Amino acid sequence: MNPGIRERLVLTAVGWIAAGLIFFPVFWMVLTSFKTEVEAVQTPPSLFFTPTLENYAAVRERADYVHFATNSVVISLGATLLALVVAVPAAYAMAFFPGKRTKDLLLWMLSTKMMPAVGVLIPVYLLFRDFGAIDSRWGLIVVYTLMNLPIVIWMLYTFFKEVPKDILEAGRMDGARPRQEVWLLLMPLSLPGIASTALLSIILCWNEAFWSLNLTTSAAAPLTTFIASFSAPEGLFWAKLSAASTVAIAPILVFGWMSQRQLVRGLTFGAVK
Amino acid sequence: MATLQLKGVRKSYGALEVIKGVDLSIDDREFCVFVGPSGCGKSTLLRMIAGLEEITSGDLVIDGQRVNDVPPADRGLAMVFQSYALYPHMSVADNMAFSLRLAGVPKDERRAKVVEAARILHLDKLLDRKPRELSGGQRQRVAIGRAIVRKPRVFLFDEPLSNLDAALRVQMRIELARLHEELAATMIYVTHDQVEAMTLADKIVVLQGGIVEQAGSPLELYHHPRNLFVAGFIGSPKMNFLPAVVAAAQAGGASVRLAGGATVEVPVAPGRVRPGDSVTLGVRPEHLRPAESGEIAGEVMVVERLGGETYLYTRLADGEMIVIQADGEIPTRVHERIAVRLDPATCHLFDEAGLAVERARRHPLADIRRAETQRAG
Repeated sequence: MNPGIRERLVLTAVGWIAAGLIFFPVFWMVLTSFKTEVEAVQTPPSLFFTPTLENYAAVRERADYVHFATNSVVISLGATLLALVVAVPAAYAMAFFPGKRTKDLLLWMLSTKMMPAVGVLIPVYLLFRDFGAIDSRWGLIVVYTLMNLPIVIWMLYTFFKEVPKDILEAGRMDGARPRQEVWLLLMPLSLPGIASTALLSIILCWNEAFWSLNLTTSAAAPLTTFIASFSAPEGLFWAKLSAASTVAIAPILVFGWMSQRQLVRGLTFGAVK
Repeated sequence: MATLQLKGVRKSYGALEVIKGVDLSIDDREFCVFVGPSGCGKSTLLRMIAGLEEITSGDLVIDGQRVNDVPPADRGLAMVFQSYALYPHMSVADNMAFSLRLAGVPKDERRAKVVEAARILHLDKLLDRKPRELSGGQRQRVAIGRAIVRKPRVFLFDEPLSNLDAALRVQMRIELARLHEELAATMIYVTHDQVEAMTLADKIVVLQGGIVEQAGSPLELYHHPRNLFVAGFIGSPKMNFLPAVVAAAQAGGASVRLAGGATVEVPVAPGRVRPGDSVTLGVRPEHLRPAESGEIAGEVMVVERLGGETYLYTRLADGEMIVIQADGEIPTRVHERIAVRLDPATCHLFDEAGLAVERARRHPLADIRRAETQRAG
């Protein structure tokens, strides 16, 4: 066999295996959500069974899905918007007026992501308590913004770097103040990049569980808290937990599917130049 | 009215000084061209005038007002970039109207001004197109249109023609000369192309290593280069340089002996050189003519025939290579031996430090502005 073809076959197989590994838990979760609690814990697990909607009915009865979903939407969008408001000027300055330490600063910001979140749980919790931010949407928005800021700035920085400096300078000669330069030239020119950055931020916020579990109880609790509430002290109800998880991830799954092309472009940007 | 002065202008990036003290005065309606090899600081100097680069020290004065700390747009300048730098997401009309929009000019007035500029530049039919739908030459014209619309005091051009192909470049060069006359504006133009410099400029500023080597009219630089660098930079093919020794110095000039043994009496101002000094004799290829016999002789190594003229690359007995510009019809072939007669009146003399020894007679065209030389011709 031609070595080139063999190499491609191996790579394709590896790709499918990786995709299968990532997809399987989601598939199994959705499958389990249509089983009865007894079927859900059966060994060996059954692949063929009579599907039931009773778990979804039970989930709906026990908790107000819309309440949690609204919180998720408000917090994800709010945190993303706030992150962009801070990150756009920061990335603009870093991309077009770099100082001696700009690269170091960027690396340092990213390095904060390497610290485990639990390391700052106590101080953040105390701050939240003192500011009355526990179980509030705005509190979570602030934490999520800070959490995603490094990656949002990094992505915007990479996108802004692609905009020719000359165009902004032409704008400056034409009388554009920095704010107009960003709003009328830079942002329209890097709109696809800003869109994919926003998408990624929304997805990261939506799926965030650590801070939402620790800092909210009910009023501001997003869908991740909603899922967790189904692992009750009296035991795990796998089928119901699966049903809750399925409805929690459904919106973001659909959203991600629709914006797939933007996302892939955004994530591979800079890496494949 | 727009005059511009640079007084002791310097620019450093940290410890690295790139502009090392430039003094320059540009008159109203003058077409001033900065020319020099790449890295000489000509673009940096232009960007400092534009306000895109800070001036480390010295004064930039426009119409008598020091503008070092005035933001770019408020200096009353417009700039045309090498890359055109059009706004890709805006139509041609919006590109040209952008500065007016920022200045809060009402829509009707904006439209009128854009239409007027489009007429001057023959862009009337393209106003609704996006930049990506235009050819290189059209984009260039839009970039110029964007500058015209602002009615600036001074136009700045940063190598505006270097992205165009040769034919279009000639056409745009003529267009620019026409625009300069029609707009009666002060223009500063950066290029590395000495043909652009010679044809467009009232004043050429030759820069090298962050300093001004010489500033003057094109023909002044051609006939009276101040040093070896300017002599070699202006003119194409470049001036031939031959090592020589001063044999005698009289009131009417200096007799110099070439390496080959021949003596030439060059008419230079008296007093600068003394017998025994080593000097460099400079003579342009177009001032050399092959002859039966002459002061220098050598073997033709390469023949370049351009049709109208022929360049003979000739190696002299002492190994020195010189270029001779001969007639297009000349039958000379490679490896033929030829002699060249020197006309002393066309020779330049440079001292050991590379500075020109002033010529005895000032060339009649050297001090006349470009517009006037054209009228005379």
